[in-house]
Amino acid sequence: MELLAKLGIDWQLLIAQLINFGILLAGLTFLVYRPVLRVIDERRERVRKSMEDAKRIENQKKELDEFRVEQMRKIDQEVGLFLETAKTQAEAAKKEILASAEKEAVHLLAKAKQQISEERARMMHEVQDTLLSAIISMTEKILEREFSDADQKRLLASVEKNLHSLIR
Amino acid sequence: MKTTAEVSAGFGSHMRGDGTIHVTIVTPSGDAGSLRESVASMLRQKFNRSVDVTERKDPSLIGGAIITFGDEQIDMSVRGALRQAAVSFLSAGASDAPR
Repeated sequence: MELLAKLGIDWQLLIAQLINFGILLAGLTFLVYRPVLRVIDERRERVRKSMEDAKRIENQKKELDEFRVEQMRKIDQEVGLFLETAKTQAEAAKKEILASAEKEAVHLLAKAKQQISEERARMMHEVQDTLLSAIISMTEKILEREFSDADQKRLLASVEKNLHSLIR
Repeated sequence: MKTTAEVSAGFGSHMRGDGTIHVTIVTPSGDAGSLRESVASMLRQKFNRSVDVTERKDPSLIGGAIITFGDEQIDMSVRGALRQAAVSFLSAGASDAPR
Protein backbone atom coordinates (compact mmCIF):
# COMPACT_ATOMS: atom_id res chain seq x y z
CA MET A 1 0.00 0.00 0.00
CA GLU A 2 2.80 2.33 0.89
CA LEU A 3 4.59 1.42 -2.22
CA LEU A 4 1.45 2.26 -4.25
CA ALA A 5 1.19 5.44 -2.36
CA LYS A 6 4.86 6.20 -3.08
CA LEU A 7 4.17 5.57 -6.76
CA GLY A 8 1.25 7.96 -6.52
CA ILE A 9 -1.40 5.31 -7.13
CA ASP A 10 -4.55 5.45 -5.13
CA TRP A 11 -5.26 1.85 -4.35
CA GLN A 12 -8.90 2.52 -3.63
CA LEU A 13 -9.24 4.16 -6.98
CA LEU A 14 -7.33 1.29 -8.53
CA ILE A 15 -9.68 -1.24 -7.02
CA ALA A 16 -12.60 0.81 -8.15
CA GLN A 17 -11.08 1.00 -11.60
CA LEU A 18 -10.53 -2.77 -11.58
CA ILE A 19 -14.08 -3.37 -10.52
CA ASN A 20 -15.27 -1.00 -13.21
CA PHE A 21 -13.10 -2.75 -15.72
CA GLY A 22 -14.40 -6.14 -14.58
CA ILE A 23 -17.94 -4.97 -14.89
CA LEU A 24 -17.15 -3.55 -18.32
CA LEU A 25 -15.42 -6.72 -19.34
CA ALA A 26 -18.29 -8.85 -18.10
CA GLY A 27 -20.78 -6.63 -19.86
CA LEU A 28 -18.81 -6.62 -23.08
CA THR A 29 -18.35 -10.36 -22.85
CA PHE A 30 -22.07 -11.02 -22.47
CA LEU A 31 -23.32 -8.26 -24.69
CA VAL A 32 -20.72 -8.05 -27.51
CA TYR A 33 -18.03 -10.69 -27.53
CA ARG A 34 -20.25 -13.75 -27.28
CA PRO A 35 -22.86 -12.58 -29.84
CA VAL A 36 -20.06 -11.61 -32.20
CA LEU A 37 -18.39 -14.96 -31.67
CA ARG A 38 -21.72 -16.65 -32.21
CA VAL A 39 -22.30 -14.72 -35.42
CA ILE A 40 -18.78 -15.57 -36.57
CA ASP A 41 -19.30 -19.22 -35.71
CA GLU A 42 -22.62 -19.27 -37.50
CA ARG A 43 -21.07 -17.63 -40.52
CA ARG A 44 -18.16 -20.03 -40.45
CA GLU A 45 -20.61 -22.91 -40.20
CA ARG A 46 -22.60 -21.55 -43.16
CA VAL A 47 -19.42 -21.15 -45.14
CA ARG A 48 -18.36 -24.66 -44.22
CA LYS A 49 -21.74 -26.01 -45.20
CA SER A 50 -21.63 -24.02 -48.38
CA MET A 51 -18.20 -25.39 -49.08
CA GLU A 52 -19.42 -28.90 -48.38
CA ASP A 53 -22.45 -28.33 -50.59
CA ALA A 54 -20.24 -26.95 -53.28
CA LYS A 55 -17.93 -29.90 -52.94
CA ARG A 56 -20.88 -32.30 -52.96
CA ILE A 57 -22.33 -30.57 -55.98
CA GLU A 58 -18.93 -30.72 -57.62
CA ASN A 59 -18.74 -34.44 -56.87
CA GLN A 60 -22.25 -34.95 -58.14
CA LYS A 61 -21.40 -33.00 -61.25
CA LYS A 62 -18.32 -35.13 -61.70
CA GLU A 63 -20.34 -38.30 -61.20
CA LEU A 64 -22.95 -37.01 -63.60
CA ASP A 65 -20.23 -36.21 -66.11
CA GLU A 66 -18.76 -39.68 -65.70
CA PHE A 67 -22.24 -41.18 -65.97
CA ARG A 68 -22.90 -39.09 -69.07
CA VAL A 69 -19.58 -40.09 -70.59
CA GLU A 70 -20.26 -43.74 -69.73
CA GLN A 71 -23.75 -43.51 -71.17
CA MET A 72 -22.43 -41.82 -74.28
CA ARG A 73 -19.81 -44.54 -74.60
CA LYS A 74 -22.49 -47.21 -74.18
CA ILE A 75 -24.75 -45.46 -76.68
CA ASP A 76 -21.81 -45.19 -79.07
CA GLN A 77 -21.13 -48.87 -78.61
CA GLU A 78 -24.78 -49.79 -79.08
CA VAL A 79 -25.11 -47.54 -82.08
CA GLY A 80 -21.92 -48.99 -83.51
CA LEU A 81 -23.18 -52.50 -82.87
CA PHE A 82 -26.55 -51.62 -84.32
CA LEU A 83 -24.94 -50.07 -87.37
CA GLU A 84 -22.67 -53.09 -87.75
CA THR A 85 -25.65 -55.45 -87.47
CA ALA A 86 -27.66 -53.33 -89.87
CA LYS A 87 -24.72 -53.29 -92.27
CA THR A 88 -24.34 -57.07 -92.02
CA GLN A 89 -28.07 -57.55 -92.51
CA ALA A 90 -28.06 -55.14 -95.43
CA GLU A 91 -25.12 -57.01 -96.97
CA ALA A 92 -26.93 -60.32 -96.48
CA ALA A 93 -30.13 -58.89 -97.95
CA LYS A 94 -28.16 -57.46 -100.84
CA LYS A 95 -26.50 -60.82 -101.50
CA GLU A 96 -29.84 -62.59 -101.23
CA ILE A 97 -31.52 -60.13 -103.60
CA LEU A 98 -28.64 -60.41 -106.06
CA ALA A 99 -28.69 -64.21 -105.86
CA SER A 100 -32.44 -64.22 -106.31
CA ALA A 101 -32.21 -61.83 -109.24
CA GLU A 102 -29.45 -63.91 -110.81
CA LYS A 103 -31.46 -67.06 -110.30
CA GLU A 104 -34.51 -65.39 -111.78
CA ALA A 105 -32.45 -64.14 -114.72
CA VAL A 106 -31.05 -67.63 -115.33
CA HIS A 107 -34.55 -69.06 -115.06
CA LEU A 108 -35.94 -66.45 -117.46
CA LEU A 109 -33.06 -67.03 -119.86
CA ALA A 110 -33.58 -70.79 -119.76
CA LYS A 111 -37.31 -70.31 -120.22
CA ALA A 112 -36.75 -67.93 -123.12
CA LYS A 113 -34.30 -70.38 -124.69
CA GLN A 114 -36.79 -73.19 -124.26
CA GLN A 115 -39.57 -71.06 -125.75
CA ILE A 116 -37.36 -70.13 -128.70
CA SER A 117 -36.41 -73.76 -129.14
CA GLU A 118 -40.02 -74.89 -128.95
CA GLU A 119 -41.10 -72.14 -131.31
CA ARG A 120 -38.35 -73.07 -133.74
CA ALA A 121 -39.29 -76.74 -133.52
CA ARG A 122 -42.93 -75.87 -134.04
CA MET A 123 -42.09 -73.70 -137.05
CA MET A 124 -39.84 -76.40 -138.43
CA HIS A 125 -42.62 -78.89 -137.95
CA GLU A 126 -45.11 -76.60 -139.68
CA VAL A 127 -42.70 -75.99 -142.53
CA GLN A 128 -42.07 -79.73 -142.81
CA ASP A 129 -45.81 -80.42 -142.75
CA THR A 130 -46.51 -77.80 -145.38
CA LEU A 131 -43.59 -78.87 -147.51
CA LEU A 132 -44.46 -82.52 -147.16
CA SER A 133 -48.11 -81.90 -148.01
CA ALA A 134 -47.03 -79.98 -151.08
CA ILE A 135 -44.57 -82.71 -152.07
CA ILE A 136 -47.14 -85.44 -151.56
CA SER A 137 -49.76 -83.48 -153.46
CA MET A 138 -47.36 -82.84 -156.34
CA THR A 139 -46.15 -86.43 -156.32
CA GLU A 140 -49.72 -87.71 -156.36
CA LYS A 141 -50.54 -85.43 -159.28
CA ILE A 142 -47.44 -86.53 -161.19
CA LEU A 143 -48.10 -90.18 -160.43
CA GLU A 144 -51.76 -89.84 -161.42
CA ARG A 145 -50.58 -88.52 -164.76
CA GLU A 146 -47.66 -90.86 -165.23
CA PHE A 147 -48.93 -94.05 -163.63
CA SER A 148 -49.97 -96.25 -166.53
CA ASP A 149 -52.11 -99.38 -166.76
CA ALA A 150 -48.95 -101.35 -167.30
CA ASP A 151 -47.53 -99.96 -164.02
CA GLN A 152 -50.75 -100.92 -162.28
CA LYS A 153 -50.55 -104.45 -163.69
CA ARG A 154 -46.96 -104.78 -162.57
CA LEU A 155 -47.82 -103.50 -159.14
CA LEU A 156 -50.80 -105.85 -158.75
CA ALA A 157 -48.62 -108.74 -159.94
CA SER A 158 -46.08 -107.81 -157.28
CA VAL A 159 -48.81 -107.72 -154.62
CA GLU A 160 -50.08 -111.09 -155.83
CA LYS A 161 -46.59 -112.49 -155.70
CA ASN A 162 -46.08 -111.31 -152.11
CA LEU A 163 -49.56 -112.25 -150.95
CA HIS A 164 -48.28 -115.04 -148.73
CA SER A 165 -46.13 -112.68 -146.72
CA LEU A 166 -48.84 -110.00 -146.60
CA ILE A 167 -51.64 -112.26 -145.28
CA ARG A 168 -50.51 -113.90 -142.08
CA MET B 1 -75.97 -100.43 -137.09
CA LYS B 2 -75.82 -104.09 -136.21
CA THR B 3 -78.22 -105.39 -133.61
CA THR B 4 -77.03 -107.35 -130.61
CA ALA B 5 -78.50 -110.52 -132.14
CA GLU B 6 -76.53 -109.98 -135.35
CA VAL B 7 -73.32 -109.36 -133.46
CA SER B 8 -73.95 -112.43 -131.32
CA ALA B 9 -74.69 -114.55 -134.39
CA GLY B 10 -71.57 -113.23 -136.13
CA PHE B 11 -69.44 -113.98 -133.11
CA GLY B 12 -70.87 -117.53 -132.84
CA SER B 13 -70.35 -118.10 -136.53
CA HIS B 14 -66.80 -116.80 -136.24
CA MET B 15 -66.05 -119.07 -133.27
CA ARG B 16 -67.43 -122.10 -135.07
CA GLY B 17 -65.51 -121.15 -138.21
CA ASP B 18 -68.49 -121.75 -140.45
CA GLY B 19 -69.02 -118.15 -141.72
CA THR B 20 -68.11 -116.55 -145.02
CA ILE B 21 -65.09 -114.28 -145.18
CA HIS B 22 -66.01 -111.01 -146.85
CA VAL B 23 -63.12 -109.47 -148.70
CA THR B 24 -63.03 -106.04 -150.32
CA ILE B 25 -60.39 -105.16 -152.87
CA VAL B 26 -60.15 -101.49 -153.77
CA THR B 27 -58.21 -100.48 -156.89
CA PRO B 28 -58.07 -97.28 -158.95
CA SER B 29 -59.95 -98.91 -161.83
CA GLY B 30 -62.17 -101.25 -159.80
CA ASP B 31 -60.59 -104.26 -161.55
CA ALA B 32 -58.14 -106.30 -159.49
CA GLY B 33 -57.67 -108.88 -162.26
CA SER B 34 -56.10 -112.14 -161.18
CA LEU B 35 -55.40 -110.71 -157.72
CA ARG B 36 -59.06 -111.26 -156.89
CA GLU B 37 -58.85 -115.01 -157.37
CA SER B 38 -55.45 -115.28 -155.72
CA VAL B 39 -56.71 -113.55 -152.58
CA ALA B 40 -59.88 -115.63 -152.47
CA SER B 41 -57.95 -118.84 -152.97
CA MET B 42 -55.41 -118.04 -150.33
CA LEU B 43 -58.00 -117.05 -147.71
CA ARG B 44 -60.14 -120.08 -148.47
CA GLN B 45 -57.15 -122.32 -148.05
CA LYS B 46 -55.92 -120.54 -144.92
CA PHE B 47 -59.23 -120.37 -143.00
CA ASN B 48 -61.08 -123.22 -144.66
CA ARG B 49 -64.12 -121.05 -145.14
CA SER B 50 -66.01 -119.68 -148.10
CA VAL B 51 -64.82 -116.32 -149.36
CA ASP B 52 -66.89 -113.52 -150.85
CA VAL B 53 -64.85 -110.93 -152.75
CA THR B 54 -66.17 -107.48 -153.57
CA GLU B 55 -64.29 -105.03 -155.76
CA ARG B 56 -64.50 -101.28 -155.45
CA LYS B 57 -63.10 -98.41 -157.44
CA ASP B 58 -61.16 -95.52 -155.94
CA PRO B 59 -59.07 -93.49 -158.42
CA SER B 60 -57.43 -91.55 -155.59
CA LEU B 61 -55.35 -94.65 -154.83
CA ILE B 62 -53.35 -93.86 -158.03
CA GLY B 63 -52.06 -97.42 -158.20
CA GLY B 64 -51.91 -100.71 -156.32
CA ALA B 65 -54.73 -102.06 -154.15
CA ILE B 66 -56.19 -102.13 -150.66
CA ILE B 67 -57.38 -105.55 -149.44
CA THR B 68 -59.74 -105.61 -146.46
CA PHE B 69 -61.13 -108.69 -144.65
CA GLY B 70 -62.37 -108.92 -141.09
CA ASP B 71 -60.28 -106.55 -139.02
CA GLU B 72 -57.34 -106.76 -141.40
CA GLN B 73 -56.43 -104.16 -143.99
CA ILE B 74 -53.50 -104.53 -146.35
CA ASP B 75 -52.71 -101.24 -148.01
CA MET B 76 -50.50 -101.75 -151.03
CA SER B 77 -51.66 -98.63 -152.83
CA VAL B 78 -49.44 -95.86 -154.16
CA ARG B 79 -51.36 -93.33 -152.09
CA GLY B 80 -50.88 -95.46 -148.97
CA ALA B 81 -47.17 -95.80 -149.67
CA LEU B 82 -46.82 -92.06 -150.09
CA ARG B 83 -48.69 -91.36 -146.86
CA GLN B 84 -46.69 -93.98 -145.00
CA ALA B 85 -43.49 -92.36 -146.26
CA ALA B 86 -44.77 -88.97 -145.10
CA VAL B 87 -45.61 -90.33 -141.65
CA SER B 88 -42.17 -91.96 -141.37
CA PHE B 89 -40.50 -88.74 -142.46
CA LEU B 90 -42.46 -86.69 -139.91
CA SER B 91 -41.71 -89.19 -137.12
CA ALA B 92 -38.01 -89.07 -137.94
CA GLY B 93 -38.17 -85.25 -138.05
CA ALA B 94 -39.92 -85.07 -134.66
CA SER B 95 -37.35 -87.34 -133.01
CA ASP B 96 -34.47 -85.29 -134.52
CA ALA B 97 -36.03 -81.92 -133.61
CA PRO B 98 -33.78 -79.61 -131.43
CA ARG B 99 -34.72 -79.36 -127.77
